[in-house]
Order: sequence, then C-alpha cells, then structure tokens
Amino acid sequence: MSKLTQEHIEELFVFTQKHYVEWYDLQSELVDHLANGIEHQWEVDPDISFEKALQIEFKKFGVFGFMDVVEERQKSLGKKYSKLIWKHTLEFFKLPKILLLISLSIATFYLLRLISVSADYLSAVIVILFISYFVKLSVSCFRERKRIKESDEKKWLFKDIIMQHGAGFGLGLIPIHFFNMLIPNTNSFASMNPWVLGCISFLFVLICVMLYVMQVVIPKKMEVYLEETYPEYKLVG
Amino acid sequence: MSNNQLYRGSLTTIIMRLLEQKGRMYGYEITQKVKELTGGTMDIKEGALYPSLHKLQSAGHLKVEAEKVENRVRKYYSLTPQGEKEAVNMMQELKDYMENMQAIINPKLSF
Repeated sequence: MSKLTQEHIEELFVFTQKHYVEWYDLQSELVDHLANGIEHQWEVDPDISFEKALQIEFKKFGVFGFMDVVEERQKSLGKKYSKLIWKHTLEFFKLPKILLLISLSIATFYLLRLISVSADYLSAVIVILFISYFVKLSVSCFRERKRIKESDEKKWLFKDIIMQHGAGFGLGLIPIHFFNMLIPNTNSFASMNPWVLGCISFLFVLICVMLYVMQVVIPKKMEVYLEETYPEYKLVG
Repeated sequence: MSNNQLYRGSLTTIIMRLLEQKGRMYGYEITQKVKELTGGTMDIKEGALYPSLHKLQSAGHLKVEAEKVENRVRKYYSLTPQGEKEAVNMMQELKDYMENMQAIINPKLSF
C-alpha cells in the first residue's frame, strides 16, 4: 500500500495555506485528514495521481472548503479567550486584589471630584487613550506578523487571538459609548451626583483592569495556555 | 453526510456515541466508521465534522491528544468525564425522540 512521502505532506501544508488556513494547529489536523483520504484512495486505485486524489478529498469539505472549519475554530477559541479575560478580571474581586480595586476606584472618584475641568475634556482624554491603545496594538500586531513571516515560525490561532487581544477591537470601543452615555449635560464631575460619579470611577478602573489582564497577565502565561490548548504544541516545538 | 436535515442535527450525538464506544478516534476515522456502520449510506461532511469536534472540545466534552504518526501529527479525540455524562444524556434524548416519532408515525390504535 502506497504511503505519502514527506514531500507530499509538505505539499498538503502548502495546499491548506493556499486555501486560507494560516494556522499550524488547523493545518496539521487538515493535512492528516487529507493524507488519510488520499492513502485510502490509493488502496482502492493505486494509479490515481496525488493531485487528483487531493482534489477529490478537498471537494468533500463542501463548497466553502476549509472556511467553515476555520470560522468555527476562531469562534470557539475567541470564546475561550473571553472566558480567560473574565477569569483573571474576577480575581480582582477576591482578597487581596479587591482592596486594590476599591482603593483605585476611591482614588479615581476623589480625583474626578477635585478636578473642576469640563467632563468633555475627560471624555476627550479617554478617547485619545483608547485610540493610542489601538494604534499601539495594530503596530505590534503588524510587527509580529512580519517577524513570523520572515522567521518561518509556526502560527497558532490561539496565540494570534492573545496577541491581538481577541475581540479587543470591539471590546475596547464599548467604554467610549459608556462614558458618552453617562457624561452628557454635566459641566464638571464635581457637580455630578456622587453615586453616578462612583459608578463612573468604578467602571473606569474595571476597564483599566481588563486592559491590564489583556496586555500583561494573559500574555505572560501564554505558553501555559498554548500547551493547554494544543497537545501538539510541545510535540512540534 | 447525506443532505438530510435529520442526519445533520444528529451529528454531535453520533460523534459522542462513537467516542463512548471506541475510546478515542481521529477525524478521518470517524467519517470512515460512520460509513462502515451504515453500509455507505451515511457520509459525514468533513466541513461539518471538524467544526462539531472543535465545538464539543471547547464545551469541555472532548479532550485532545496529539501523536506523531508516520510523517504527520494526528489528533485523537476522547470523552472527558463531563463528556461521558453528556453522551448518556444525548443518547437518552435521541431515544426519546425516536420513540415519539415512532408513536406519531405508527400510532397504536386501541379499540
């Protein structure tokens, strides 16, 4: 019975790449599947060419090719990432970290009360902060992509999600709306209802905590999470 | 898979049941096993199989092991303890469904 050679396997990796599967974790699973299918065809008809057998196997994935597989994987790993953010953020609601959360909220509250600047200025500062965050994120993602392309390193979908802060782009935009909703019609924070101001301070600190989790805590534990997600991560290095 | 809504809805149950019986399997093996069991009438679409496997994995029902087989890496799926319980539930649901369908299709008329 004919078996696929190492060259064939490499060709299959290139094939998946050409069909928009960038990540090694998905590629390797699809390559094994295609390889099994082709070897099975050779058992029945040893004369069929590698290319023809590959096309037959690929057709079995349906009109969208590997798209469904990629999309579903992105969705489920995206969910896993959101859960991780919440898990780490919730740690700030337990002792001793909760003390930090409370004291930072109180500090923000009094700081906002002290400043008699218009709320509009603060909104502007927040918007600028977020824009700089996205610019920084985009630049670092672009650099990382370039580095991986040049170094021929394997790409892992979950690593990409962590590096790009998952749904970070969507998540990060919510707070701006939040502040716009809460802040209108008030000239300064000092004259604002203390409860509303308290909520604003707490939300602001909470968002900062989430950003800290996304930028520092999770990336620090990346290797652990990758090994946990991908049993093959250690196998192929 | 045969282009039938009924079959498509049962894909997860089929996967869970096979893994319950066989212990661990890889994607291609699952497609072949289904073909073999149904005498070739049921053909699982690969484009649906892997999304289902990944969904079950992220729900915590399946765990994955990787092994180097010949010149490639193979991923084996197996049930987690949580998945084993879920498999039992799914089978029960399917049985109930089949009984209900049976009752509707062939109502027992008593006089």
